[in-house]
Amino acid sequence: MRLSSPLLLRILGFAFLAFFLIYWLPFSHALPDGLPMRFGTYRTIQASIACVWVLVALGLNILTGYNGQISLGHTAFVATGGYTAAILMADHGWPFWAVLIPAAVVSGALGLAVGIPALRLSGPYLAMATMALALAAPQVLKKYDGLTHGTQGISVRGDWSTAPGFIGDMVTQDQWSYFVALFLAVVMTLIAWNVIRGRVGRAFVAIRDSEVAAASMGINVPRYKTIAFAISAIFAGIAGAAYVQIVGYIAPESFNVLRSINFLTTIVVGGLASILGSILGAISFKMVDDISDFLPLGEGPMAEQVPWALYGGLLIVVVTIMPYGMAGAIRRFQMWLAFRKPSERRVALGGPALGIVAAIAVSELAGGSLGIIVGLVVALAITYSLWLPALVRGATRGYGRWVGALRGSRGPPGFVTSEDASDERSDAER
Amino acid sequence: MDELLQQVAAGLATGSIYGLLALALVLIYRSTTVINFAQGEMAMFTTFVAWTMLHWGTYWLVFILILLMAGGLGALIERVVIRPVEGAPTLNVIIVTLGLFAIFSNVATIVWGGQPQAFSHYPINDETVKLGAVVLSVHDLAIMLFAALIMIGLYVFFQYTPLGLAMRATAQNATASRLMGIRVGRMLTLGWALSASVGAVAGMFVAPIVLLQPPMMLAVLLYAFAAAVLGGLDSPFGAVVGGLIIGVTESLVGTYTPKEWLGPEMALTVTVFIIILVLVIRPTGIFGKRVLRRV
Amino acid sequence: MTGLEIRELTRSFGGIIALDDVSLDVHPGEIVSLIGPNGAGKTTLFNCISRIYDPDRGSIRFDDYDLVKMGPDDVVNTGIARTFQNVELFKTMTVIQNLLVGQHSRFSPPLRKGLFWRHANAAIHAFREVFACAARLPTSWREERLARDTAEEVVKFLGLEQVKNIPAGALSFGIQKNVELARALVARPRMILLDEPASGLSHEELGHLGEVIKSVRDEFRVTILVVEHHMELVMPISDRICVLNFGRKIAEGTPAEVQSNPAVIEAYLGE
Repeated sequence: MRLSSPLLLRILGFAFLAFFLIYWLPFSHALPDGLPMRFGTYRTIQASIACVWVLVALGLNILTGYNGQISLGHTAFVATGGYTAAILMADHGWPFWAVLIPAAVVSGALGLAVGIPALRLSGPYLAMATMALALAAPQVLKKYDGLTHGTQGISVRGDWSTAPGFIGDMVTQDQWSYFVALFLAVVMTLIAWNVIRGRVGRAFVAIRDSEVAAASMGINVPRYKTIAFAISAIFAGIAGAAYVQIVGYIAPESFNVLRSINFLTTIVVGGLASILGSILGAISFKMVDDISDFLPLGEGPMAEQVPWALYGGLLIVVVTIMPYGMAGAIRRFQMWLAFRKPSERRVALGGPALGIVAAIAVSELAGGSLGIIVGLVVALAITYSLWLPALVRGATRGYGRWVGALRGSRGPPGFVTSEDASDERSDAER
Repeated sequence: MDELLQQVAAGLATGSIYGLLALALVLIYRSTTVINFAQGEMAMFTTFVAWTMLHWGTYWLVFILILLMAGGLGALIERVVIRPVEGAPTLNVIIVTLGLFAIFSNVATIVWGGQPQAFSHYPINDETVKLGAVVLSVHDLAIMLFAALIMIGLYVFFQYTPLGLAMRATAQNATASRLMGIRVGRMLTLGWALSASVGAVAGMFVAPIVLLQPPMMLAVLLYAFAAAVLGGLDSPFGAVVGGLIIGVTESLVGTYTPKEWLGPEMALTVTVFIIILVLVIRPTGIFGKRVLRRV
Repeated sequence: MTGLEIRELTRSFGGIIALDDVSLDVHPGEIVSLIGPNGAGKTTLFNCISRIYDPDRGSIRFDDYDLVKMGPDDVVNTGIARTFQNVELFKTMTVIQNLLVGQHSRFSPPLRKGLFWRHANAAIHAFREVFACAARLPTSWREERLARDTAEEVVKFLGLEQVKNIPAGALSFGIQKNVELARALVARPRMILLDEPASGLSHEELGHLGEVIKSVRDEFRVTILVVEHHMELVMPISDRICVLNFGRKIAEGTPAEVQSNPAVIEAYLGE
């Protein structure tokens, strides 16, 4: 049996993924003592929140990536779902499973309401209009405190966050929250996948590519654009409910406009119009959030600021060399791989494989986040050693050539060719 | 009536600041269709540099130097990080500016600390002037004066100088301009430089009001974005008018709406919803051009 | 089955009258060509039929439907599909995906009479449709399979097998035109509007295109209305030709009649 057998690889991949998500992440206390904040529980909560961001990113990508409507207001939808859930759970004693539907419905209704005026707007004008929503949300939540408890927020922790029956003896509250979040993320990913692959998703993409042609195919453009907004808001609403269940608390400032902007960043970095991209983007965004946990920066402003400054730089580099995000890079990588010599292919695939091994090993010894970063570095270093010569060649010919080499067609596996970029440009000019 | 005039005047003063930064946004948007989200943070950064320089220089000298330095910074940014993503999808360029946003705001905190600083050595004091029934501070008057001067200066530059004409041509049709022998790349760099300088002026005027601190420009940027959109993103004149409208609206909403369910805390919310309403009626802003697509 | 009836259609842009009192009948099974110099109003007429533009005056009826009262997305449901002058394919989708979108109307609810019922019905349908898609109900994948079969058939008919999995934006202009024809055909229309199908084609390809258009009419039993400049294409295939100049209809008749019409010769050969 050869390693490159696609079926075997796929089965191995899924098995590993299942092991990683269901056992290793919540149960392995792969961290030394004396670092309470970095202990397994903390990582479990982080993983749960990553699942929430995955939900938001999926919804936003349906709207922005597939349907071409930009939104800088998604925190408003998340907050709507979160508050609906929190109010029902804290003030009316509903169990978590029961609040998912109202959270989705209320948020989806808001999405519909926003989607109608949005029909007339596009590009930065739509971005502004949706951003207005994110700006207004905290103020509205603070002002009308009869329902929302104002600035103090709502705490929800109770029986419903422990697992039922015998499962409750096996897992802690946080682990249970994680499984709930993971379940939601998996189910919603499947739903997003179905919607996108089917007739509705095709209509979304058709509208993005050409509204006039879409209409002449019998697609009611305004109706589908509003539907896209509603679906997107439903995803965000469910994410909000999940967030409340994990964190146990929600306040007006939990979701501000900067987070809204970050959501957009997430899907661009992950890859627009890609389910895989939404997931990768959300996870990597959560990881950047946590970098300060292991960088040796001590406490104080340095520990707070340095990771985010690095994040800014990383953002620029990633967007420059991967115009179609991480998902686009992976697609390119696959195509590149198909035309390589076996020896090169072994190096290119060996990198990620060794990276995963290194990630788990380092996590067991030192820490989860550090492990993931080390794994990434190992994987990238080995894989991209193949294309180092092209980069060096580019570097000797000036800055422009160097950037060109980073995204050029010959050298870099996983990156877009310059022809693709020029296609995009001619589109923009038209 | 007097109070109304007073509120309008105060609104015009804050609106001028929004308008200045909106003008900076529009200068970049016109030529590249990119909203520069780092505009406010760039201004904050240069204002911090100015604050440092004020320890050994006089205010007006520093002011001039900072304008030049901001221009240099803008040009550098265009060359180093924006040029490589030229031709990539617009959203990617916007993400790059968000990256710059993160870098500037965090580096500023690392270098100058997160504590608010008083913007001392400021020659325009807080004395008030009475104009009819309206009482305004000298500072407010200076802001409005500078906003007007910059507007007139830019108008003259774009209308009556060959360089300004070349920049307008580039903004309208880069390909045709290139064929006419205009160095499009240089025009884009110049646009960023100009925009950064205009933004720096806004920063210099915001700092004395809100105290100098890394997040000081965030709210201003969001208002400026709203102002630019309201005025129509391809119209510099619209940007300033948009800024003034927003400033006045916010001031009036805060004063004249019922306190129980709206009032000052909801001023921002009401203002942005008025903007949305305007946009729904005029989808490309008040002075923006309608784009028609032929099939 | 009365075909297309256009009566006294007028449309102006600013001060320019693009269509001036144009009347035209297209009977079932015919190939009718619409010719005229640039700016004669041919594409405007198409855009009025497919409801991208509102006419200022006049009526457009197709079979029992009053098209003027409909939205652009209803037109295909009455049985009229179209192609575009400058190609409006969905560039990021593959050819097959384009053809699947082309069949959107096939699985839409039947067109109801009356404004209210049309919208209420469509809204309910939209909700059911999203749910069926999200949950992958049997109805949705059965439709999917039907659509795929039809797409493959038309791909074979027009000889697009080689390119069927390539993103439409990456294809040459000529092939894109062909894909647009395919996309119009998969909707199973009773009438097709072709907007300059020959632009970008070489002389030999023109002859082939004429054959294709005729065989489309015969195989798919559709009525065809063509906008075209190329006389080599128009003359042999048309049952009737309608000539527009400056928005007015100046002649109508068989190819032979039109060719000998003095007004047409004047419009084409100048003063």
